[in-house]
Amino acid sequence: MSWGGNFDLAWKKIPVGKEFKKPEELVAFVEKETKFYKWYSGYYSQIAVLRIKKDGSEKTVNVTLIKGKYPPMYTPEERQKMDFDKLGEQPANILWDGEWNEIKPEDFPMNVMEVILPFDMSKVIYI
Amino acid sequence: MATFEKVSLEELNRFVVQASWNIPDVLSMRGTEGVNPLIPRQLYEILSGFDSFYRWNTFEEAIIDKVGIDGVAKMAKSAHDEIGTKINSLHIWCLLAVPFGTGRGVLGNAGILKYSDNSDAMRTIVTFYKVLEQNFRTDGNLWTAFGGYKTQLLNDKMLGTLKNSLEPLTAKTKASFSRFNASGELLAFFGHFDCRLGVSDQGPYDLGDGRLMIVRDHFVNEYHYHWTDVCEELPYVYTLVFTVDKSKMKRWIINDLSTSYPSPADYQPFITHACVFKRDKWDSSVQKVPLGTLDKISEQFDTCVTKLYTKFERMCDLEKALCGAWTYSVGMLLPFALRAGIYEELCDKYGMWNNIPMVFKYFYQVNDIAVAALPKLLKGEGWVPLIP
Amino acid sequence: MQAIGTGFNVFKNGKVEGIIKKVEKPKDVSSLFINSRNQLNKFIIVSTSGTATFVAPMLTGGVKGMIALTGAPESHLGLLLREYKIPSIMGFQLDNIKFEDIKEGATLVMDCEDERVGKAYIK
Repeated sequence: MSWGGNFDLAWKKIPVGKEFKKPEELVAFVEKETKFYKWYSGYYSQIAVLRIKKDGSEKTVNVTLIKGKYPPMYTPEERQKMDFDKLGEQPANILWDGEWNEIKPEDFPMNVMEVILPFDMSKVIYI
Repeated sequence: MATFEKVSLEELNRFVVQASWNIPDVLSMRGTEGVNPLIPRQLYEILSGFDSFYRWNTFEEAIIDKVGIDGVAKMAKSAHDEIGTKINSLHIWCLLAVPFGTGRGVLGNAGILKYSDNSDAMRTIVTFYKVLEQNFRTDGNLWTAFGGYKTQLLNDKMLGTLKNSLEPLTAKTKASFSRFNASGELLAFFGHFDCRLGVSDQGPYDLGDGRLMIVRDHFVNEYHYHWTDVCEELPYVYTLVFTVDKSKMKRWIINDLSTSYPSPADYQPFITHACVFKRDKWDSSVQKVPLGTLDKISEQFDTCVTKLYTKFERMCDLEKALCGAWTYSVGMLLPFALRAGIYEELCDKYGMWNNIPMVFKYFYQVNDIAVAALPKLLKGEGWVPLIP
Repeated sequence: MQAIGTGFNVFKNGKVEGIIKKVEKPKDVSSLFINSRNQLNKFIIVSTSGTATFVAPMLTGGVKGMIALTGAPESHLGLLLREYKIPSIMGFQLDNIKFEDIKEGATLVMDCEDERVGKAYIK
């Protein structure tokens, strides 16, 4: 997939220039830099575009991060137990099999030059 | 043809990404409802995808040509001082979701079109949506979900008028109001072929006195549809304004589909005050309706529902599918076309009601496509952005 | 009592008891409405479909309860059942019994005491 541009409209471009050894490190980095969208049906989401160096060349890849179940199709028993607010305090996961995800676990360790956060979070109001 | 600046491909793709999260938020559980033995909903949703994907940009450009981008912005702002209008969150949301979803998403999935098809048209569609949404919402966000799941549109003057019109409910008027609310909502769903376009909530408005106010429209007689002839004695819309005791409510969420999800779900015991208004036609003046007349009106609603049920039972699948598809392909643009003064021209010159030949070419295959693709779409899949 | 399954409780209500009537096609709905209109308030409808317009006359007729084998409280029918205050369980998963084996005329008990999970039993 392609964003069709140079990310001129991106909200934040963060120079990184380091190797993330495991997916968890990348997730922690993104969580530190931005809030997640809180979808009341039962999940949180965010997307990061990574400018990475692989096999001597640079490219951009998309990573989707999720907390909770995606899509949010919970059973009645799961809903009974779910604390939606507490879910937000848990670490996110990469949605490995999502349409917007272009990395795999075996891509780590990953040399990341830049993390681009496309969406402006400043006006979002949380319930 | 008026020229206007369309969103860039990058911005368009950003919308698509956020939309792919928004869709499962509002619709993933709706995907569990299965087939409707009376109305072929999934079928008509997909059929409307053809027209919306291939033709909405033409209708929207005609609207922009007539009133300019400023005129489109003004239409959206009309929601700030009017009630009983279909310029609402759901109709605006649909202008993005339907061509991308049931249009591009489902038809692309089925191999009927390529994801790269019609990209310039998609830029018109997103631009139209963006202009509407930016001028409609008052919190700078583009989705209700990002605005704390509130749709607070009305200006202080309008809020004051509504607040002053509220009447405290007795046990009797509360029962009447509850029945009126339920029956009117059912008829509004029915008249719109079991989609939500006939119902719209906005709010909650915190009145600062321990009450939350909700403004709810029930479009019980969308007279632009031929099947609603059974409702011809009813006005176009009833607007219900009511307050709930804030201390009893954990939350009141209103999503992008203008649908409320109160917590607790059974909010009715906590309704304190209410009033009702109506418009006879889409552009008639707003008139107050006495609470003492609600029982009689509810009986009219029930009669209309029974008549519509009988009418729909007599229709064949093809007719029901076309009627349902029109509630989308025509109905979603209808309020904007009317307000721009271009509805008749869209019908006569542009043939808005005449579905494109693809609809008929694929009619008998679409059901299989719908059954396979729609549940996937409602989960947010099939929104691959454009290839530049 | 025989437990027959669980599903999404549309709103918290308590326990409700009624006579089972099953609907699968529009004709089932319309003939129930025409022939048994004055008794609808004794019936708990078990519907194969969780769609709103299909069971509309059951709502206007004021049934005692509704169990739908598909759908969820977020769907159109869920919204309407909430507004009509008809005790309902949607997305009901039958357990150890098939729809065809549910006997019309038997007494059904709906347990809607939990905010999320609804259960049903045949007496």
